[in-house]
Amino acid sequence: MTSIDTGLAQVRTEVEVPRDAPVGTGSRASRILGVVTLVLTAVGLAYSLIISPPDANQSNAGRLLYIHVPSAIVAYVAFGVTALASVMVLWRKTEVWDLIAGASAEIGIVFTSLCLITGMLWGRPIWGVYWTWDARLTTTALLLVLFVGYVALRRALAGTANRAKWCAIAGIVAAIDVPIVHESTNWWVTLHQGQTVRLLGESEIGGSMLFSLLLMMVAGLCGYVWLLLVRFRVGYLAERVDEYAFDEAIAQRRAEAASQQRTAAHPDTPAHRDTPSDRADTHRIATASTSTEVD
Amino acid sequence: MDLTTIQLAVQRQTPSYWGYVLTGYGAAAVAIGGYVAHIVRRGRKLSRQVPTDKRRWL
Repeated sequence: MTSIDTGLAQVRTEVEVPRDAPVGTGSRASRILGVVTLVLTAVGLAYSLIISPPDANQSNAGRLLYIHVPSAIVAYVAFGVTALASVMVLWRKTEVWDLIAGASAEIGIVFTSLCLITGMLWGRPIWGVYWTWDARLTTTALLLVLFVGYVALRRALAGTANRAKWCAIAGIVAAIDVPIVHESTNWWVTLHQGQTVRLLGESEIGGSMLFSLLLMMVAGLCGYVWLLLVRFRVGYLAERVDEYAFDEAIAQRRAEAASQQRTAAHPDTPAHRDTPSDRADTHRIATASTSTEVD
Repeated sequence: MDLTTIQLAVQRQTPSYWGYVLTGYGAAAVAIGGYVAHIVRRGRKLSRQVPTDKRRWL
């Protein structure tokens, strides 16, 4: 039990506050997942940079693919989750799905950028150029632009319900590019290589190289879930802070109105001056008004 | 020349590309680490403005 000062006539109210209420966005589950991600990443880095041998044709440049491919996979998953959550927003119209869609899109942008950067660094020694207007590269760059636009739209639109609806539509439309990116190497003649690792069928790499790639993919996906959890909680907290700011603004407006009524009811009193004692009165009225509303 | 000599000669001529590799891994660390630091810091800042009973996580 914790005592909270309501600010109204020095009344102290006993309110049940959980003793283990967290500070920040951490929880037991997110901490465990964070540690698992860090361990997987550390082992994955050891395999990627030290244990796995250099590629026969690409030398050490092939090691860049251990972060390039997992980044692409995480970006696909992130934008897929955004599309799914957007469908749920239109269907169920709940805040939770809207926050998940926004959080996942933001994480997807980080990993798509990383995928493009590592791809460019790999392309320079292997292809001889950082960038070429290849179908895979172009559709991936378009994917990044679409989701940057999506996040910009989320920040530009006012009103939670209005924002949720329009951003859900934008999220679904933008996610159409994900299967296009994935199939671009099959649909067009591209410089970018096709699929190397297959879930069904034989992969083109094996041994410690395949293990390194799969390990980094698992680490990337664990990291994505952790980031989604934390980013969702940040979005949730931001919504609550906005609500409190709105409630406070209404209470302040009511206090101003009450002050004006009091002045009108007693015209013989001196004209209102903004003295410290007046401000204290206004604060007391505001608190009383809010308290009545809650009761 | 035997096969091993030829392989060694090819290896000597192939650049190691470690510069590109380390730049790529460094970029990944900066991008992901920076983003993690940003959202954790923002979460802590926002949670101070919200009552404890409103930030109960699973």
